[in-house]
Parts: sequence; C-alpha cells; structure tokens
Amino acid sequence: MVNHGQFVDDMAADESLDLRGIPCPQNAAKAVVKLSTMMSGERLHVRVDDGEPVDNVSASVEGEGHKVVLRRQQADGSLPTPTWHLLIEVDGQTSTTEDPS
Amino acid sequence: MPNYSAINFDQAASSVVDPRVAERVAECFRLELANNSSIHQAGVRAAAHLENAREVIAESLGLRSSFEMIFCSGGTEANNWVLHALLNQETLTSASAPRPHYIVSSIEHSSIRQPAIWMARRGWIDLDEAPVDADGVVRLNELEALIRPETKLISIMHANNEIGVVQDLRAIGEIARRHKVLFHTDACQSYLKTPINLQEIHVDLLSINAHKCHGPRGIGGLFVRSGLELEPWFRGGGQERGLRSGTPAVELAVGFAEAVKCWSSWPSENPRAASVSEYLQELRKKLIDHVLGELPMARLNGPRSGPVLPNIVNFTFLGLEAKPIMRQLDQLGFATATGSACSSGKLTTSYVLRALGRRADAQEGLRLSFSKWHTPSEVARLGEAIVQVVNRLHDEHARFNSQ
Repeated sequence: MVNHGQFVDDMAADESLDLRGIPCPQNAAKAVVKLSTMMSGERLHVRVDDGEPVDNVSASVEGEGHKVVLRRQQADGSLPTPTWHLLIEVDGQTSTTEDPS
Repeated sequence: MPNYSAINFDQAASSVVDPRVAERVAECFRLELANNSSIHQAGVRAAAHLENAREVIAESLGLRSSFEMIFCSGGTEANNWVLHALLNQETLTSASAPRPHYIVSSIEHSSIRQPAIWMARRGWIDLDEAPVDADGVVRLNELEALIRPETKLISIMHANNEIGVVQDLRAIGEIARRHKVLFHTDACQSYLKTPINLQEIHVDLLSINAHKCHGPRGIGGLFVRSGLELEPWFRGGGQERGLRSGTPAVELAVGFAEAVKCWSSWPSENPRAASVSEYLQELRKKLIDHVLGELPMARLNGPRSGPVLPNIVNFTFLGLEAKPIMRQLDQLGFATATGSACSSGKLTTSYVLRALGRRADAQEGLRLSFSKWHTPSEVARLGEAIVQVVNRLHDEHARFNSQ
C-alpha cells in the first residue's frame, strides 16, 4: 500500500519507466507495452512531463484496465517544467490517491 | 501466366516471408488499427503495437534505449538519410564552409555508393573509397590514412551483398572514435545472420531492413545513437522523434518484429537440429565443396570461411559470363542472381569484384543465397545444375573459339 503523500521512488514499484520528453501518445504506448509484460497486481512507476502527458498517460493506461494509484508532481531544478510521477497498478483495483503538493 | 515454381536461391535479394510473419501481419491488418499518433484509446493501442515492435528490434541489437531505433521504409532510405543528414545549410550555401569529407568502402551497396557519388559530383562532399583486400576485407591502415580534419563520416557496410564478406565493425568503430568521426554501417544483409551488439562496439548509425530476414518489404530502421543530433529526413507531423515524419507502417513494423522473433526458430513443420546459422553454414560449405571440386574454372569470391555470411556464395567461372549461367539455371528451376545489373542489354562488370582485384574477364559473379527452408538435397541439386550448365557453356564456348 502506498501512503498518501509518500514520495514515489523506484523502490516502491516493481518496474519504472522514464517517459519525459516523449510525445503523446508514444509515452502512453510505452507504458501500455511495459504493463503488458508485468503480472497482475505489480506496480509501474512512470515519470512524465507536466501538461497533457500526465492526463493522457493516465487516461490511456486506465483505458487498458490498469489503475493509477498515485500521481505526484515534483519540481526538478534542472528541467523547465515539473515532472509527474505516476504509480500504476497492473489490472489495479485500488482507488487513486492524488498528492496535492 | 505460365506456372513458375523455381527454387529460390536468391534470398539475399529478398528473402521469403516467414509464414508466421505473414499471419501476424494479416492479423494486425484485421485489427483495423487507428493512426498511432492519435491520442484516443484506439490510437494508443496502435502506438503500443509500434512500440512493442520497436522494443523487440532494439533488444536484438542490444540498444540502450528503444528510442534509438527509428522506423523507415528500408535500407535504401536509411542509407540515403545518413548521407544527407550530415550536410547542413551552411555547408550547402557558404563558399567558405569546408566541404564535408566522407569515406565509404569500395564495395558498398549501391544505396550508399550511388548517392555518395552523386553528392560528390554536385560538389556537396569530398568522397574517398577505402580499399579492400582480395577477399573484400577493408584495409584498416589505408582506411585510417584517408581520414582528414574535414572527415565527417565513415560508412562501411557490415556484410557485402554480393560476396557476403563481413567487416570488423569493432576495429572500424575504434578508428572512427579515435578520430572523432561518425561511423555508419549498412547492416541490411548481416542483421540477425551474424551477431551485432551495439553496446559492445562503437557505431553511431546503423541501417537494417526486414525483407532480408524473412520479414515484409517496405519496413526498415535506422539506429541513431543517443545524443547524436541528426537532421530530420522528413519534416511534417513529427513522428519518429521528429526525425522521420509520416505515419509509420505499424502493421509492417509488427511483421518486422515477428521476423526477428522467428529468425532463430524453425517453423514447427520443418524442425532441424542445428542452429539456423550453423545450418546455413553447412549448406554453404556443401555447395562450395561441390562446385569447386567439380569445376576447375570456378573461383570463389570472398572468404571461404571466417568473416563471411553463412547464407551467401559467389562464384566466377573463368572465361564465362554469369548471366547466361543464371538464365539457364532459371530454366532448370533455380532462381539465382548475378552480381551486377544488366543495363540496356549490355553486361557490366561488378565494381565489387573489380575492387577485389579480380581478372578483367571475371565480369560478374553468380550469387547463390540460401534460407533455412532450403534442404541439403535442394542444395545438392543446385550444385549439380551449376556443374551441368557451366560445363555445357564452357564446351560451347570452346567449340565457338576453335571454329
């Protein structure tokens, strides 16, 4: 179980994918392909860009039957826009927790 | 149309499509995939097919990231792209800008050789050819000696399409790295037939295609090393990392990936014990031993063993042209190839064989190329047919000369 507000890192997930800089819908497709190789209940940590990608990737993976269980924004001083972290559960049934920070 | 059912020993020109690939492509077409750039769910599913294919191909080459593989229509496109991508507007418009210098081998495929010569004739580049030895292996010392401060690109094919000789990519890559010159290799003939791991060797750009390895025609790829900034080839919708705009052929890309997955396995109806590569080598050795053993006028072009593809054999027959041999073999039910194109009915010499220093009367080679579906008995029949045809033409030639 991921606690509300807890920072998502690679340790909290079974797999991770950095999709920053990848346009839509290629970013979502990469996530869908990765999720298809994982077992039910496993979790994928995805980094995506701010703006459309975070919503598009979330909607796309949920459209394939997975669940975004956590979304968290984090500023990265080296990048012009903040990074979003998504924790996605394969075939997940857990309710989504959005970190407002 | 008359019934034509020759045994195809011209697999290096275009290999037979694996039935599993054909089925996968057909299945993909039946899915009625949406445009893979659309962000609705159907578009994402199409994009997922494409990305899955990209990952299979990336893994086969040991890529750090699948994003390093850009899909395009095939080897000719990828090769032309590389040659053009290193030119910039300043080079083309400024008289003071130094003209880029390219080095290609003297036995490159025409999709490198012809555009490079064309660009040099237009004054866009300076061009040098790296010479090869009698087996077609690039002479590394002479290659290195050609490098100068303006050298932008070394493009040397991994395996030659006429004689199958395989170049030492590791050694050439080290020379390129030492001199800070980009290194491109055309791996269309060698891909899957001989291992390539791009994490272990220094290659900046690499061309591949599907139809040489039992995949569909019309799909290929260019590996672009991470961090390398390349001019876009097509501008438009920004597909393929903005480098090659245009809606990709997703179904063909899926077929390409299926061909990669099927390469090392036998179709279930035709199991064999040896690995594909070992099996092809056995067929190659069998044919070479047969022909050289029976025909004293036969010469093998390229290495007999060692750095050579397992599926290509190239002979010349002293005093005989290859095209009549090819035509008579065709009539006997064997599709083969000659090493050079016939233009306006005039036989041309093979620039590859000239580069090897072959005699002037060795105008062109007869190329035989196999697939894993060929049986030892088919190869034995091919060998017998070559012996029969060459002996007949040799006797006719001798009778004509004695009259």
